[in-house]
Amino acid sequence: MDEALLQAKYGTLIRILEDCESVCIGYSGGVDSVFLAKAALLSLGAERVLAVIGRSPSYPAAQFRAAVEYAELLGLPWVEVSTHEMESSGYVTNSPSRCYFCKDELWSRLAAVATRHGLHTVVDGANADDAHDHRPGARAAREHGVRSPLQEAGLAKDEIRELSRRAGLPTWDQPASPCLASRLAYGLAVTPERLAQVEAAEMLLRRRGVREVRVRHHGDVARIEVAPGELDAAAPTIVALVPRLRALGFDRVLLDVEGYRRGALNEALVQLTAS
Amino acid sequence: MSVDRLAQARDLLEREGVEAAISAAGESGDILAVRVHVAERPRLARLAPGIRALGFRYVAIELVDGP
Repeated sequence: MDEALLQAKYGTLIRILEDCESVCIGYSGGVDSVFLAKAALLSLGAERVLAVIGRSPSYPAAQFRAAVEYAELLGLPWVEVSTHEMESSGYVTNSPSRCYFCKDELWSRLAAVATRHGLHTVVDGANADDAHDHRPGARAAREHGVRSPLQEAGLAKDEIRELSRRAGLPTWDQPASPCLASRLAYGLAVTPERLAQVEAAEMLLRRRGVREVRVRHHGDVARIEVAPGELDAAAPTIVALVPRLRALGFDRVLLDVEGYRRGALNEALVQLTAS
Repeated sequence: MSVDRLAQARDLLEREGVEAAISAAGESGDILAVRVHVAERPRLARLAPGIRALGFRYVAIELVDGP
């Protein structure tokens, strides 16, 4: 990692945040939004920063508790708003554009919060790496005028982790945790019950020490992806949990042989595009 | 997922010395589920690109029992 480049990017981030004047942050408690919140607090002060947690069935309860804990640790003002993406047919039908409908709802709510609190700019935690993935949610952000300071500064995930580590943030090595709907195969309707199945299954696995894991929901099938580095060590634990995973409503429990790959369900889109 | 692809996957696995029950899984049958011990995972991971070339999107071990 190029130290001079890292410092330059961080300096750019601070200038971008100052340019925002005051910020309403789409805050999930993940690596990116926690780091963004910390930088915003440093550059703008707590009176010009508000973190907003969007709550819905696709946001795990454990993650909400962690997000609040981190906010309290940082002295970060925060509020929660309920989002209603489950009322959008574009979201529920789970097309590859699903994230657009979710983010459209989220940013609509945050824009209203920003107005109520007199905050100048709504920002999100998208980073430079996100620009390379299938991210229909980014279109919603653009349409709502949401800025992405980390991405604008060119900060990639590994750089954000390193800066987080130096800042003493507890999230620096936290696994990424996108919304639960991302575990449902495209075309499989998003329902609160399926989201709850995924949440319960992943919590079960994490509590047994499987750290970076995704339970991909394919209808009656749970396909488990574990980070390649811990896959073989975790396999016996997963086997032992099969009866409990079945009890959550999965008829079949499968272990993906290649392990966790970011955006694995998007691989289907790539194949469709190529064919 | 066609039976042909399943048969091709079985042939591929057998050529590599993996004799196991296999089936298509998932809403669109795009997962090849292989019933083997989890210790076989690294070998299946090496074969996964060839299996995907047959039209499956994912290769997975079917977990059938608890401890």
